[in-house]
Amino acid sequence: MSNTKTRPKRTFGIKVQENNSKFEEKFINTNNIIHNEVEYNKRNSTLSPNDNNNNNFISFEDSYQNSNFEFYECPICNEEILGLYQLNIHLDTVHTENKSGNVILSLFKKTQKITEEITGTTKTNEKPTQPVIDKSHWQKSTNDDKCSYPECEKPLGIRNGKQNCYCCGKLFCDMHTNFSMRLSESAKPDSNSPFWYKVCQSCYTSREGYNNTEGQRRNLTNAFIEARKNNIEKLCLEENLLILRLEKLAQLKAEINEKKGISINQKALEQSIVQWKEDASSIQCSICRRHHCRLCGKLICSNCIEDIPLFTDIENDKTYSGSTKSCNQCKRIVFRKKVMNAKEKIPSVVKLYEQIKFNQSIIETILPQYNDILLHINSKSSKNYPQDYQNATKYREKLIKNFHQIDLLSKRILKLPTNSKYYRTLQNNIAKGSVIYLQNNMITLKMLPEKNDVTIINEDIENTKRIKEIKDTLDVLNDQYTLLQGYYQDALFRRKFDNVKTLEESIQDVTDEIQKLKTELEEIS
Amino acid sequence: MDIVKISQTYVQKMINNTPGMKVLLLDDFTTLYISAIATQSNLLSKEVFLIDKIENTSRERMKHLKCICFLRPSAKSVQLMIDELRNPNYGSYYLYFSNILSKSQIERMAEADQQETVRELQEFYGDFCAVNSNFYSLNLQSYQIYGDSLNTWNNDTFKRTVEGLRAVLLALKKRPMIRYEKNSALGKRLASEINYQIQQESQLFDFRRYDTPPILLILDRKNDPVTPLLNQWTYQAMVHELIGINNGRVDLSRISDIKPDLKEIVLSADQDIFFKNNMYLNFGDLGVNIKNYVNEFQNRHHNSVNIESINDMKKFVEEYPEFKKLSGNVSKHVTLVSELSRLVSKDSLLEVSELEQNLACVNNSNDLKEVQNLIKRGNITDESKIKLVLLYTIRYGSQNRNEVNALKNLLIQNGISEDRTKIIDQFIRYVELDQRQNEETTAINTIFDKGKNVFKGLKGVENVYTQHTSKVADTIQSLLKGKLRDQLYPYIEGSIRDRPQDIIIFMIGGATYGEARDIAQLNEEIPNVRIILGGTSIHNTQSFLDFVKNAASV
Repeated sequence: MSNTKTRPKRTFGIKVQENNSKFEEKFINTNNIIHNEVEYNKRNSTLSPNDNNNNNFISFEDSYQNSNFEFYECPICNEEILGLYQLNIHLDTVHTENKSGNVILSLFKKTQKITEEITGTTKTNEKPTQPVIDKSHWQKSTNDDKCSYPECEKPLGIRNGKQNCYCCGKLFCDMHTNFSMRLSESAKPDSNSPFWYKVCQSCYTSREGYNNTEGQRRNLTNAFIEARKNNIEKLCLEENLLILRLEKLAQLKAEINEKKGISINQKALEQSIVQWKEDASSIQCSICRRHHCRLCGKLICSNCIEDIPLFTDIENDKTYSGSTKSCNQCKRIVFRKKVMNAKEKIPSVVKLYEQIKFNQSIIETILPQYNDILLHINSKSSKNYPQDYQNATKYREKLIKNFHQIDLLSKRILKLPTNSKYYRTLQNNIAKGSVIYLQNNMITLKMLPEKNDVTIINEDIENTKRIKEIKDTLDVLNDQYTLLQGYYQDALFRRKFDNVKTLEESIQDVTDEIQKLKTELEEIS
Repeated sequence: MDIVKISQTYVQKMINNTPGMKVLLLDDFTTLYISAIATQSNLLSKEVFLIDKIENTSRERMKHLKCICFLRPSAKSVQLMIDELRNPNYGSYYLYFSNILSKSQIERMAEADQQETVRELQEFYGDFCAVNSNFYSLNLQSYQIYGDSLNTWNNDTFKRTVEGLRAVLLALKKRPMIRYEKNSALGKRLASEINYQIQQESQLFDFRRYDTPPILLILDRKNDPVTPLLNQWTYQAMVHELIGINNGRVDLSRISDIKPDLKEIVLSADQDIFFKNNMYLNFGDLGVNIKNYVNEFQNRHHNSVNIESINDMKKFVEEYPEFKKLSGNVSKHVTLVSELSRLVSKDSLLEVSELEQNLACVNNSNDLKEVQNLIKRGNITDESKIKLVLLYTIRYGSQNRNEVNALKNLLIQNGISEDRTKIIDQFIRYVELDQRQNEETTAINTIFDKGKNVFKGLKGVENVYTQHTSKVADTIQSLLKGKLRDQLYPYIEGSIRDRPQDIIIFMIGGATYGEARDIAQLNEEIPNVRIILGGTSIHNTQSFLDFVKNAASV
């Protein structure tokens, strides 16, 4: 805080004005303002001063129209404040419960008490004395300050107010400092601080967590995996037991198959592997047929029993020896690993999609490089122009090739035959996704600028260059033609005849241009 | 505190973390959640190529797909998930639940996952519908709110409401101080249960310290039955009132000779910049804007016709998708606004609305006569007539001499069935008119605002059709001025003197788009506070009267 000597300064409680009556007049006015301010804070502190405080403010301005705009020093913290109005706000917000013997403050406190009694909102917790807050970073006030809020830039002064943000220290108008935050002594946001300060809108809205868009989440993966692990451990014991039984049953079946014709008591042998439950042991459902599960021996209704294959070695499909009945629970457990490790045929759509992903990954590495070079070329900051131009052309070709590849692949995916409506939808959506990808990346691909003349040496080179250019343009035009055809069909399908007409004309234009270029190409070569 | 952005971040987190071909598996409720905030192209670009319902049991085995599940942890959905894990259709599973899972639910799923296909299990608290950036709904319109009386909750609905509101707080990351309306038994019960839940789940509700705690204000529709009865004149509210918005979608198939692609349209502030800019504007301003919008489109169209050079061509092709989108959007809004305008003139809604506003805002000796006049008129819908009688009933029904019965008879004489006039008695019961008679002096019980409005007064734009401000807007203004009395709006626990900086409102019995607009306006005008509104559902007059009928049946 600097005390510039040229600035007129006042201290409250000390008579600095020569004219006594004038001072009293101001004093009375101040009282009125304080009264107003108390009302304001009680009721209207919610609204921006532009809305609600207009009346107070105008009357204040009227009464001070002829007085010079001066700096006052706060009697408590010696802070320099512009104008009485601001001083009052300062006293009001910063030194609310200060025990100073100052006349104005005691008057203020009295008024506050009265209003509190009226509104029935007596403050219960006495605020501790406001400590000194760091102000070393404050922007110095001059005669020509503007509000620091982006795009506000109102001239600061008696009309729009002038206030340092206690947090960032810059100067703002009243509207953009109508925010309160708790700050630490070092003027940093601190929700644990007991003290509120006036801050600017930027500091208010940019504090940590204010613009948070991430909702609360809870990750239960570990708890889940832990629970699953315990369960799988138990399951493994059962699984091994069941596999053992299954392999025994398979062995049995194999032996029976060998001794064809010889009568064997299959049931008894099966029961030697697992004890069957007594038929009478379960009374549930006497209507549907009941079976014994050959793996666990329990009684199972016909709905839940299934035929399962038998393998003398469960991991080897070639050891199949027949089938038996099992409940679906045992089936799931005994074949758990078999199902988990099963190699399934990869559908063509998956293979083709992998290629699309591969092409996309190439594009994603090249595209930024291409754009970089293009930026250099266009801004003429390129150090090695021919080299850069050549690279750019190379990159561009590669990009176009990959885009083309994606287009072809997605069309192949679209045409893949399938009987499943799920695979049909999957294929359609992959194709749709590719179109979106191409729209976002290919169409926005920037053209190379015309090559500088300097590098042209002779006609021959120029011809090859021209041929290349034409071919490039033709590529682009062909792409556009395909795209336009797509839009055209789409518009036709949706019966948007306005668009159809426009598109028809565009297609005609493109066709003409292609024809023209083709003729030129033939002429050159 | 933008609930739409928060919801979108949830969805992004779900689909971004898992590269590769994906299927998204949803249940009935989360389908609504996702469809309100995500677009197909957004999902496609993140490789979500299939979307299916977990309820669909005929799904095929597609081992090469990863499966993202987003489900409400309802008993039904968890059971379906367990069945799915027993016989997994997809290669791996990434499970997200929209609310808190019980320990036994987690254990049962872990037990079912014998194939070890689950890679992830998380709770993402998206158990509500994000309607606008500061408006949410629990979508409980088909639930009966009341139990055995108008002072008790239906148990299922209560559980569902607590879960939904708890999810809202978790998504917003707010651990609020809770206030409720003293005369609402339902509000008190909800407030204390939410408070209990916050303490129960204190680990989840452990957020960074606030300068001042946010306020959760629980209100009861019965204390403002007027707002949902009034004709609305701002775009979004008007569409819901006259046509109906169902989860962001508007059904226009009733318009004869409508184009097939406009039969059902989507109104989303997030994807439709014209709607975003106009959703809160009144019908007059909207008309002007739609005209400019059409002009802008025609200019662009004109430019695109004159393609002369190859560069023009290229530009055209580049801009065509945008152009096509614009074209679709223009015809969408033109169709919608012309339908609104047709309805307004067909049903003389301006006249009806003027009388409604007068009934709602000022005492007027002519009220009775004007209501009678409009009841006798032919080009006014039965619904409007009943509404007018209801508004008359609220204003004058508690006075000793009133003409409610006479008006009821007049309705019957003018061809409205006796059965339909029953709504008047049901309404009286719902708003507890008899109890309000003696308490008229206390602020909470005066249903009508006194016609004083700070904002309108200052702006000087008095529009006869929008005189009335919803009670919730007035309540918030009182709260911000520190004038919301503890006796009438008690805290469930503790109390706070500081001016709130974040306010979450929950309306038991449903909020309206009109109220959402009022809240949006407050947010705009008072930048140092953020307010978000929500309720059990979103009403228009029709749904509100159905709700009253339902309530009166307990």
